Amino acid sequence: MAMICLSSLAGCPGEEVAREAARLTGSEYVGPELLTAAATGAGLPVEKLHQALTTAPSFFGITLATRRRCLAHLQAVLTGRLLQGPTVFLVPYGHHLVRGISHLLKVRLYAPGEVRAQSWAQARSCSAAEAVRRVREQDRVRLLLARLLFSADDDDNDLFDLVVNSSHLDVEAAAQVVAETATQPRYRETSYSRQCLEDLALANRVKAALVGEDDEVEVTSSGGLVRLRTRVTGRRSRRRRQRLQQLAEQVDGVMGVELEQVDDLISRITRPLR
Amino acid sequence: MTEQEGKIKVMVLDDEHIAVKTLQRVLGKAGYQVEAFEDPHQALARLEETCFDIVVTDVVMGDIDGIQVLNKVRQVCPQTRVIIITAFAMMEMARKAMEKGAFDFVAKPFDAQAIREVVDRAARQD
Repeated sequence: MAMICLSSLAGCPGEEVAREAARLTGSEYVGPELLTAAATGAGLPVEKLHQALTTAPSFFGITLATRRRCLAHLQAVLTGRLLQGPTVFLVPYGHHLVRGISHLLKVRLYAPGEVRAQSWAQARSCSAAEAVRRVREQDRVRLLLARLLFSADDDDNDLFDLVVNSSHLDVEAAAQVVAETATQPRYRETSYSRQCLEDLALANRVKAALVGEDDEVEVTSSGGLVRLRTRVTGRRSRRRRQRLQQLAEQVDGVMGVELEQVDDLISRITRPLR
Repeated sequence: MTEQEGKIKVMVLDDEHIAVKTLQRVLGKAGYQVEAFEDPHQALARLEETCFDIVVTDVVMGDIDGIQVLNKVRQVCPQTRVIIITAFAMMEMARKAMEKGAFDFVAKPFDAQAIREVVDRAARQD
């Protein structure tokens, strides 16, 4: 059975479609509880995690390191959940968080801006002008954060397997389309896709364990062997590399750790000056 | 080869000699009646003559690939379960194989126990 990642633009009935698609496919719907679990893992209040994923970058706002910490924990919680069984999930940037898994169906729910603003105004009993402003602002922030955190254009439809215009379909019909697509053989779980998901889940658990030490560390894993790629430099770099290695080795499921230090341009230029 | 009564017939096809020998040994030990091929042309000819219960085939094998083998099996023996194995696994390849009717898609390297479990699962699915 496929897993389904639903990505919903502001003003689209994402949660309703996700719940109905989960019912139709016999899967479990998960959403807000993942954010709560990720916040707990990151040691932050859930409101702060929500802010990290939904507010625009600003000089006095949430730091990039905090945003990365939140994402690392959300990825770890999400992929851990996906290993447990058929799931339909709806979390911010979910389609960026799980990549390369052939049995994950990625769906974007969209509608023209004016339709979404109308729904927004109805759902929140606000004026039409206010709804238009809020929907536009959310679209702007979504695009900004996708570029900042994933170097991606979030409006690129190639990120998705299926794009559904919710202004043409009601919730039941949209969920039906999603559920029917998910039953196509191409989205069936294979030994390979299961292995990819297990590798990704382990890499994400390790990343969550390391992100407090090094928020830019890149982690991949294959069959229990974890590879770390870090830009940790400076006088204490040896100790910090050892620390990263130790922390990674302590994560459940890790059978070996390889660490690669990337010598970035800035550290190379500044080394003679230190 | 004399067909052994009641045994599940498995075709193993891979142009790597060592992979074929490993699969033949592991699956033979598990009680399957295994016919192994390193030449895909010979394997396709054999598929014209007899129906196998399970076909385990590599993807990349010179001028004939595993997807062509899968298509052939679907034509001549649609009930045969085809397991695709490859050292060059990618998401889109897995999706294509499943879309064409593969039973499973397995990435190399794999351990003997893992491939046996996949074949056992295919054998149970009647």
